[in-house]
Amino acid sequence: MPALEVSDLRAGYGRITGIDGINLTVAQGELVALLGANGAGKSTFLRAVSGMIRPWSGQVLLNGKDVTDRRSDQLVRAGMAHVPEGRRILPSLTVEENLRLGAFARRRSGDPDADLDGVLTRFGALRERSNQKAGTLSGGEQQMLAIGRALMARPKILLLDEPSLGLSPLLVGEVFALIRDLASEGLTILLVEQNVKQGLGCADRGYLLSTGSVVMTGSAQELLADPAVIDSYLGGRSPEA
Amino acid sequence: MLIQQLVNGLLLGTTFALIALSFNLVVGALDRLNFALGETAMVSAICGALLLSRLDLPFVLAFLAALAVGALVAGVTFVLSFRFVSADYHTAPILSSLGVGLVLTSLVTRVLGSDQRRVPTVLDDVRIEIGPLRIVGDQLIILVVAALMTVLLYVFLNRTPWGTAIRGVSDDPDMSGLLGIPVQRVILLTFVISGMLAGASGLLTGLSFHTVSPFTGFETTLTALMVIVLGGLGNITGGVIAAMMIGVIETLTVAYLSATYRDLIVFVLVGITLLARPQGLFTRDTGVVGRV
Amino acid sequence: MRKASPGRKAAVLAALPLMIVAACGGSDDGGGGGGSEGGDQSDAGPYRLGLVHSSEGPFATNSDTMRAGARYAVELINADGGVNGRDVELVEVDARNDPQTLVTAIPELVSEEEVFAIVAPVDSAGCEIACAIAADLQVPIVSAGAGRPGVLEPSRPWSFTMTAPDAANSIPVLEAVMEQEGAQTAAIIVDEANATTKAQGDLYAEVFDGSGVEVVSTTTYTSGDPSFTSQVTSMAAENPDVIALAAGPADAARIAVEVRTQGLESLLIGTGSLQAGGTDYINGAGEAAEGTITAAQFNPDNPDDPAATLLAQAEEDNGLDVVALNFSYAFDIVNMIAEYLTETEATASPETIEEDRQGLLDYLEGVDPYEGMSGDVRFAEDGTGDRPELYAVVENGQFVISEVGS
Repeated sequence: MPALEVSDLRAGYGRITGIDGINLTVAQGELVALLGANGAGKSTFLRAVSGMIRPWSGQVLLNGKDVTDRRSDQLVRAGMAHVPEGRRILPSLTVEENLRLGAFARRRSGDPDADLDGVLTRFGALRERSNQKAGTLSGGEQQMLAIGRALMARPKILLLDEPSLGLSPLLVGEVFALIRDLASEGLTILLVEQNVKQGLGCADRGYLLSTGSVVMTGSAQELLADPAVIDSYLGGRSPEA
Repeated sequence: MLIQQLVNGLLLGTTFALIALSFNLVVGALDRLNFALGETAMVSAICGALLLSRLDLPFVLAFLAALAVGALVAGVTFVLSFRFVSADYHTAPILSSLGVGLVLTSLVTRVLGSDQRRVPTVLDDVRIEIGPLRIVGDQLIILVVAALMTVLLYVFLNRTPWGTAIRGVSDDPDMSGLLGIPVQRVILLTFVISGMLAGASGLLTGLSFHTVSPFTGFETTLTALMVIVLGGLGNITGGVIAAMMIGVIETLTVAYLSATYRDLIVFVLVGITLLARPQGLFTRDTGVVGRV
Repeated sequence: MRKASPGRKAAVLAALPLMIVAACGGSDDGGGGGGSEGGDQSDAGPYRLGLVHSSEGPFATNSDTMRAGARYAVELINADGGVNGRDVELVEVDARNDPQTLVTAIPELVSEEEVFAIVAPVDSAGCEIACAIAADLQVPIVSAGAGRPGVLEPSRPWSFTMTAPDAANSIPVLEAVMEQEGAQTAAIIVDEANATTKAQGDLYAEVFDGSGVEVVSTTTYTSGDPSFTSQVTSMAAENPDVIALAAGPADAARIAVEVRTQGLESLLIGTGSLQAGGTDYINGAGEAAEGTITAAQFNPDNPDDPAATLLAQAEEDNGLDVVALNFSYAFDIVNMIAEYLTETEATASPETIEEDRQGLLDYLEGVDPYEGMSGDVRFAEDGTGDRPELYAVVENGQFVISEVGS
């Protein structure tokens, strides 16, 4: 049973179609990259999947269960965490409060305190600043906080929207290292990336999105070797070249 | 006498502060004004006053009843004028909550009559005298209860998961939803708490003024608006400070000038402040400490 | 100009309730009762009296009370066979505290409804306008409650009021009270947003001046003010013997409570209008009202007949604990008009109505006294009521009336 199975999903804003019949599957433990240019519909897809906007039609199965049309907070309870584009940390709350809110849905089950400690250990920079207001963090720290906060929900699947956006090349490297770590720990991840090379570099499989539809899918190696991909997304050069 | 008048002003400000707190909570959670809060305060106060004078209930019970009525009315207001009103229409909740306020006033006058209701004195014999300063029992109650409620609110917002969730929703409702916070329930909770504050403010004001009238609802709303605009929309500390300032200014104007100048002076001061600082004395993003 | 002018629109709106009243009033033209005293004119249809009340505004309660008194009078008269064998009919107009309504309603009452005389609005502001219009049309008009000085000036000699102006009645009474209580110092608190209460403030100043009491503090507020803490603190600093309330009854009540809360033991005094609006004051102030002294011009416990009998009967028939001033005054107005019609057998028919109205004027100016529910009714030369000088003390939640010097 796949962790996430989306079939024929259509959604948009007003009368403008954002995504038009997308089929996508993420197997348990898999790291899947959803790639495409700006405006291809990647974020719309994530928003429709995670309940931020209501899909027009189609179906979303989470661990085999139909969760189409569920509200975001219900999806979190069902095991989905979504780190949206732009990180969206809660600026007037402290770092620790941000993290604790990540565990809001399961605050009475499990051991949020232990999880908090785990996250602060993973992101050492956050521990020092745990009583500082999140709005005062640097961009890289905010991204760490956003991901750490999502982990506090102990998700079965993590949706990451452009985690490298606006970060320095050094930090981008760190973020992708972190994603690879998480994947290797067994977390199922759906990564949305504009940077096809980076995205495919750490993913098992990839979907290429263009104007709201999937135009190509395959394993990361296949896609990286595909001449059309090389042509349109990798500046005409094979990554190995 | 000046010191006594200053204390009178601060005590008047205390009641303004509670209602301003109540408005600011909703502004924080929803970026909307609940224009029915003045009437919510009035309804709670009338119910409390009736329990005190008709059933001779102890003040504590009447006060708790006023909180409950405030919570209920605010919850109903949320469902009627906010929950199902599209976020695209910013003015719609203004009109719909104003409407709820009108309905509340006419309901009260229909069912309970349009008479002023007496709020009997609670601590009749207590009178504290410190030098020239005199504080009577009921002023003491107002001070203690208002301070207690503010502290409880502070603790609730800063030390409990639901309180933190309210602040999270106030920062970014969509993101809060993605964190697993049931946003609509948190907003309902915010309305309920703001209703309790309005109810407390209503009954304490009644205690201070000795009566409650069913026609003071909108006046209360106007006072609260002035306070929160002066203090910075959504800034809770700013609201409390502005409330104290307006209370003191009103009292001193009445004591040393004339009652007819009171509103004029307050309006002019608020006007000048806003010309110099359109965002109010304090801005909203003063953060966690600024929020309570 | 395709849009209706606002004035025109207001006039149409104002006329609406009148039309409704007119439509209702017209439907119950009954035959007169069986002939009784006086000439039998039972074929001539009822005598029609206009009555202007107001369901809105600060005096709505007084207005209701006034109307109830007038209706009760008509009920008794008609049950007793009417006047000259004819029923008396009240044609009521609701002015809704709106001057514009009065401007259209009074001429309509006179020309369309052909009323013989009019019971004027109970409040001074409404009375002033209504009386001036009635005077233009040469129709007698009598108010039960208007008491502001000069309120009848534009409309004399056609207008009267049963009430003695506050000043005429309250100044001598309160001066006597000051002497009786041996007061030395006084504080005055004035509602500055209201012409009537401002006049009361001046009245107190005159009282204290006349009785040698020193005014040590004057504070102000505006109608409906929430808090009186500040004002009472200012007064308390001077610890006056007397606190004079130039305030509406509801505000006065809250001032009284604040005075007692702050531990002041000063004597609270009010003018006749505080007693007239008595229940609001006593209900609002509760125990704090005890001992308050006001001037008074109406005694609901008048022991002398015929007032005593009429009051007792009114209490029983209407289920009242105590008969209010405005009720009794309106009752007497209707009965005086009825007495005039009976005595002169005036027909008030279109041919003689002008003459009969003039006759009523002369009759009212000449009453000396008319003995009614409110005791001896007389009018001073300026058309205002010449009332007894009484004062009232709040005892056990009720105004107890005494005569000055008794």
